[in-house]
Parts: sequence; structure tokens; C-alpha cells
Amino acid sequence: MRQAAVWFFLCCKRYLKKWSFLVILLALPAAAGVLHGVEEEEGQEIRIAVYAEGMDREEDGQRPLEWQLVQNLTERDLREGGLFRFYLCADEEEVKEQVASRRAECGYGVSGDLRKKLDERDYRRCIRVYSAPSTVLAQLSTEVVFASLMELYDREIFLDYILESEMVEQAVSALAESGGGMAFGADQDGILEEQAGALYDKWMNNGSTFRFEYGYRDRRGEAEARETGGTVFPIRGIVAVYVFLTGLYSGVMSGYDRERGMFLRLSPGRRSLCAMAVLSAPVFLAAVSGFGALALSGSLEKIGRETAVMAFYVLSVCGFSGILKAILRKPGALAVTIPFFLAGSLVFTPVFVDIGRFFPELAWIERLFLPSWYLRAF
Amino acid sequence: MSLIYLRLELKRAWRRLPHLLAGAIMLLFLAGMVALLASRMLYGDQAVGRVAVGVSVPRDDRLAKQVIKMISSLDSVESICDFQYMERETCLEKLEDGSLYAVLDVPEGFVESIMNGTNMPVKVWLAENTGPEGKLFEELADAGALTLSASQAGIYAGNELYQGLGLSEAIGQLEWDLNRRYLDYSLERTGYFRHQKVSATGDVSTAEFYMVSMYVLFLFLSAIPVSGYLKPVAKVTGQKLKMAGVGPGSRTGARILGMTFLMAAVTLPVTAAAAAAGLTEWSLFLAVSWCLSCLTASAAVVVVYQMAGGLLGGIMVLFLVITGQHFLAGGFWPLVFLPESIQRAALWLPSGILMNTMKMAVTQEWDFKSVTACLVLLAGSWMLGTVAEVRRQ
Repeated sequence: MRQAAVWFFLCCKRYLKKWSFLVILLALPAAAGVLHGVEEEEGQEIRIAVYAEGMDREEDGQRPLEWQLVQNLTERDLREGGLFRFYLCADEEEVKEQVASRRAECGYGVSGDLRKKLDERDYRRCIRVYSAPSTVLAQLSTEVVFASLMELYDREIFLDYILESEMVEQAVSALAESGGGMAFGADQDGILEEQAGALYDKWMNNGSTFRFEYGYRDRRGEAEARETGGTVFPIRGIVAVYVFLTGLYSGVMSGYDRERGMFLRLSPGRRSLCAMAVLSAPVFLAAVSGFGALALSGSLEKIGRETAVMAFYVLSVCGFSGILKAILRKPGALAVTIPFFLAGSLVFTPVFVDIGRFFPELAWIERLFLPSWYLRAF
Repeated sequence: MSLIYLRLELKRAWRRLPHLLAGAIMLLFLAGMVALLASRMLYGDQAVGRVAVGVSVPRDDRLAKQVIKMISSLDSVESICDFQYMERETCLEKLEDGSLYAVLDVPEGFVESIMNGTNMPVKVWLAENTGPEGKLFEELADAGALTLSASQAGIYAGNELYQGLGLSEAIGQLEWDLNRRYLDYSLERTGYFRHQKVSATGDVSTAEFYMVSMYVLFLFLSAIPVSGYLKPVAKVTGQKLKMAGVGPGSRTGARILGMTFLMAAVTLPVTAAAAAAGLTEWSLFLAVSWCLSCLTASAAVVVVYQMAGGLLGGIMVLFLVITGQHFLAGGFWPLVFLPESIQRAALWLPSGILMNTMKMAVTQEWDFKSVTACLVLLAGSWMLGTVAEVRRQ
């Protein structure tokens, strides 16, 4: 055991003496820290270009509905949350140009006279949606645009109904004559519209209408009190595959060392133990590098649990690599399998996408790749 | 002398070809599985490719269940979500084990709360670290909630107004009329929009983009089985070669050409298969983009190993290059989900340059900017490799 420990530390020293290897170990944590910083600073937003016709028009003393819609959309990013950031373009040609050059994911051109078209129920295809061949979110963004439109127009539907209602008109007149209830003067319609509008705004903004609340649960079933969404950078997944790959290739290196006779001077009993120690040294170093990347990207949870899971994962990777090396015998043969395990880990384990959520019948495949076991522990 | 050395390098590369082919076959098997999954997602039956959403409705609350069923029948929701009704605890267990994407937890008395204006919120549970798709789900859900709450505000405001005017007996009629008007405008939501495609030079569809991305990933991954070929030349050997007239520049160049030969040997059948399947056509565009991609990828891989100084370091850096910069170039997730500064930088990453070059084979149009970037990357890699070789000697 003591000899194996000595070989382990000497092997670590062998790698750490090379400055290039040290730089490689530091590269992952440094990159993770930088990317985390960029993501924190810029956030995540998807740009969508918008424009509406008839900028300087007025409609009966009020702003055209199409311009209220554009203003509603472009001011969304000032309110909390929201993935889509709508921004105003000078004209519809600029919207198309922004989409074509991929500076915008998609774009919207809203027709003039939108209010009139909605009032007359002639609203089909009144909003043009521009998308490029590689656009993926145009369809989803239409829901956001539609919701913004309804947020504005539903108020007008309500006011129109109230003002058109003869029953309301009679009730208001009766109240005005009796001097009770709400105060209505000469401009009955104007005041009714103002009071009805105020009531609508009150109910819209007092939090009493339908809403969703979001919560996140991790694999252990613990609910976070505060919403925590995921980061787009799969640092934990990359660390898992990085350690796995290092373990596999360390098996290849260990095979070449054995062929060169590195372990010949050892007794047969100690040969395997020391070979395993040599195999595990770079895996340990990669795990430390990965740990640093998790810490700098803000992905570390409880330090004790993280250390224990990582330690168990490192042992598993070393064991897997050792067994595979023993089965395949030739280091070249082991090297041939690495792209398969690497690509399989990237595709079938939840590094970028959890395939099991979309294809539940194929969820078992990820169990064949060790990184999955590490990732599912969190 | 350099030509003799080049011949020796090509001979050395030739001996690694069986390893490369074996690795490539395994990769192609995986690629086939991925293509099959992707095609099921695009063309398969209704349940495939939609996210499974668990719905927990209080027992015996048929009205709440009806409301949720109405939401689930909307076109936009139906195309994305597959609602499954079950007990709350079962929903949460399945969320935690990954069987469900999200859970809608409808509270007791939900419909009554809508009617009396208190509106208890529906809790949406998502798995931690869902990434961008979780945020997209929130956007979609919030848009639906906003549409519903805009119409609710009208109903509640009307209620209060009618009560103030002494028209309580007409509230039922008010609610009926307003609901009908709101539904008239909301149900035909897709009819509001006219979709138009904007042509963008060099842009390809999402499916074509990911095929190009997989090809570039395949190029980089195929270097791993032959990493022994990329082991830097020993110091003594380097000195002897220099005395024989083969300097570090020639050695690096010969190594790049040897690796190019290996990559070309393994990608030629893949390219031929793509042409036979109609994904591309035999043309000058294909020939140029194929040659450039093999040369440039080889140069990038060779310089990684030269600078890493050893096989294990080389493989670790190669992995970070393959996954890290390929991800940042939009090779795994659409670029639109990445921060803006990264999106701008993506065009200059090796994977970004190679993907844009390969797009020429799909679009059958010249992209001189990408060709130039490829040549610059090739030249830069050769120079860096030479510098690393000189420093080692």
C-alpha cells in the first residue's frame, strides 16, 4: 500500500513538473470562471426586432394600438425576468436585415390601423413574422407578442362593452339623478370610461388575477425557496466527461508504460496495485481541476457531499478504465474505444440535453456511461 | 529531404489507419443512433419530441381538470406538451427521476378562487438546471397566464362596476358576454400572424446546421484513436532531422499533411454517403470545403498536441477544444441561447470557422470570408506548431 502511495505521488509530481500540463489543469477552472462572469454580466436574452407602421399617427387623440404594442414589447426587458428582448427598428426593411444577418432571432412588422382591424374582426395576418432558415424560436415568441396585444386590447374590449351597454347607461343616468353611488356629471360617458378603466387597471395590477409560481426541485427532492434556473453552460457535465476521458486515456498510457517495462522490477503482487496508482494519478489531478471549475462557476453545492461524490466517481472511473484495459489488453484498442465513450457521454448523458425526458424508452442507455451516474447524484 | 520525410510521415500515418477506421465505425454507429432519434423527433408520432408535463389536480375537482384540459388542447400547448394526470407525490417523484419535465400543481379550490377573484396561483415545478428550455417554458406559461389574466381583469372590473351600479342581477350576462368576446379574439391566435422566411446568405436550416456540426465534431473526435501518431518528436530525433535538413517547420507541415491524409481517408466515405443521400452534391464547393475542413482540423489538432507536450495533456486539451469551443460555437445548443459577446466570438472559434466552411457544401455558394478564416487558422496553427517544436528542441 505504501509503495502504491509513493508511486501515486511520484506520478502526480511527474505530471505537475511539466508546465504545459499545469496550464491545462488551470485552463478549465479559468475558462469556467470567465464564462460564468460573462453570463452573470450579460444574462441570457434573445433579441427580437420589431417595427410598426405609421409612427407619427394619432387615432382619436390616443396613440395607435400598434405603437402601444411595440412600446409594451420593448419595455418588457425593463420589467423583471423575460428571455426575449424586443428592440425597435427604424423600418420594416431594417427588421428583415437584422433577421437575415442573424443579429435578431426573428422580427415582427405590425400593420397600421391595428385597432380598426381588431374592431372590425379583420385581423387575420395583420402581424408579419420574419424568420431565417436557422431560426428556432419564432413560433414561441408569437405567444409572447399575442399576450402583449391582449394585455392592451382586452381593456378596450371591456370598455367598449361597458360604454355600449344600454343597461349601464340607464343605471348611470338613474344614479346621476338620485345623486347616489358614483358621481357622474355632464360628461357621463367620459367619466364612466375613466372609472371603468381605473377598475380594470386595478384588477390587472393588484395581483389577484391568474398567475403561475415557479419552483425548482433537485434530484434529492429538495425545493429551493428562491427560483433557481439553470445556467446555459454545462460545467458539471463537462467536468464529469473530462474526468472520465482522463481516466480512459490514463488507462492507455498505463498500458504503454507496462509495455515499456515500467513495472517489471516490482513483484507480481504489487505490480497491479502500482499500475492502478499510476493510472489514478492524472484522474485525481483532473478531478481537482474539475472541482476548481465547479467552484469558480458557482456550481458547487455542499462541499462535503461534492467531495464525497467526486471521490467515489474518481474511484469508479479508475476501476472502469482498469477493467477495460484488462479486457482489451492492447492500449491501442482502448484508445479506439475512447471516441465512442466520449461521444456517447456527450449525447446520451444529461450533459447538454436530458435525452430521457424526450425519449423515456431510451433513458436506460445513459446508464452505460459513467458520467451519467455522477450527474444524477445532483 | 523534406519530401522524403513527408513520405515517411505519410507511411507512419498509414499504419494508424486501422485504428482510425475502428474508432470511426464506433462513432458512425453512435451518429446513426442520434440521426434516428432526431428523425423520430421530427417525423415520428405525436408523443415523441414533446415534453411530458405532470398535472396534479385535487381529487374530485372535475372543474379544475376541465380547465386544465382546455389549456392543454390549445394548439401551441398541444404541439409542445404532453399532459399526464396523476397524484401530486407521484408527479414530484417522476420530476425528480427525470420522467417528467415539469409539474403543474393545481391547489384545492382553484376554480372557486378564480370565480371569487382570489386566484390562487398554480405552482409550476421544474427540475433544477433545466437550462434554457426551462426559461422558455416559463416564457410560454407566463404568456398564457397574461392572456388569461387580461380577460379576468375585465370580468372582475365588470363585476365591481355592476355591483356599484346596482346591476347585480345582470352580472351573469356580463360574464357570459365578455367571456365570449375574449374567447373570440383568443382562440384564433395563430391567424394574427403571417410567417415569412428571410433569405440569409450562407444560412442553413436547423437540421442542416446540426448535420454540419456533427460532421465537424466527427472530424475532431477521429483524432483521438490516432493520438499516438501525434506524439511530439523526441528531442534527439529532432536534432538529427534538423541536421539532415528537415527543420521544425517542415516537420510540423509533414505532421499536418499526415493527419490530413488520415482525416480525409475516414471522411471520404461519410461525404460520399451524404452526397448519395442528397444532403449535398458533388461539386467544387464540396471539394473545397471538404479539403479545407480536413486540413484545418488536422492543423488545429496537431498544434494542440505540439503545445501540450505529451499525449495525456494533448488528449485533455483536445477534449476541452472539442467540447468547450464546439459548444461555444453553437455546435450543441443554438447560438441564440448564449450571451451576445460569445455569439459574436463564435464566428472566430475553430469549430465556428469549420462549420461555416462546410455550409458551402450545403448551400452551394461561396463564402470567401470563411475560406479566408480557414486559411488563416491553418497558417496560424502551422506557425504555432513550429514555434512549439522549436521551443522543445
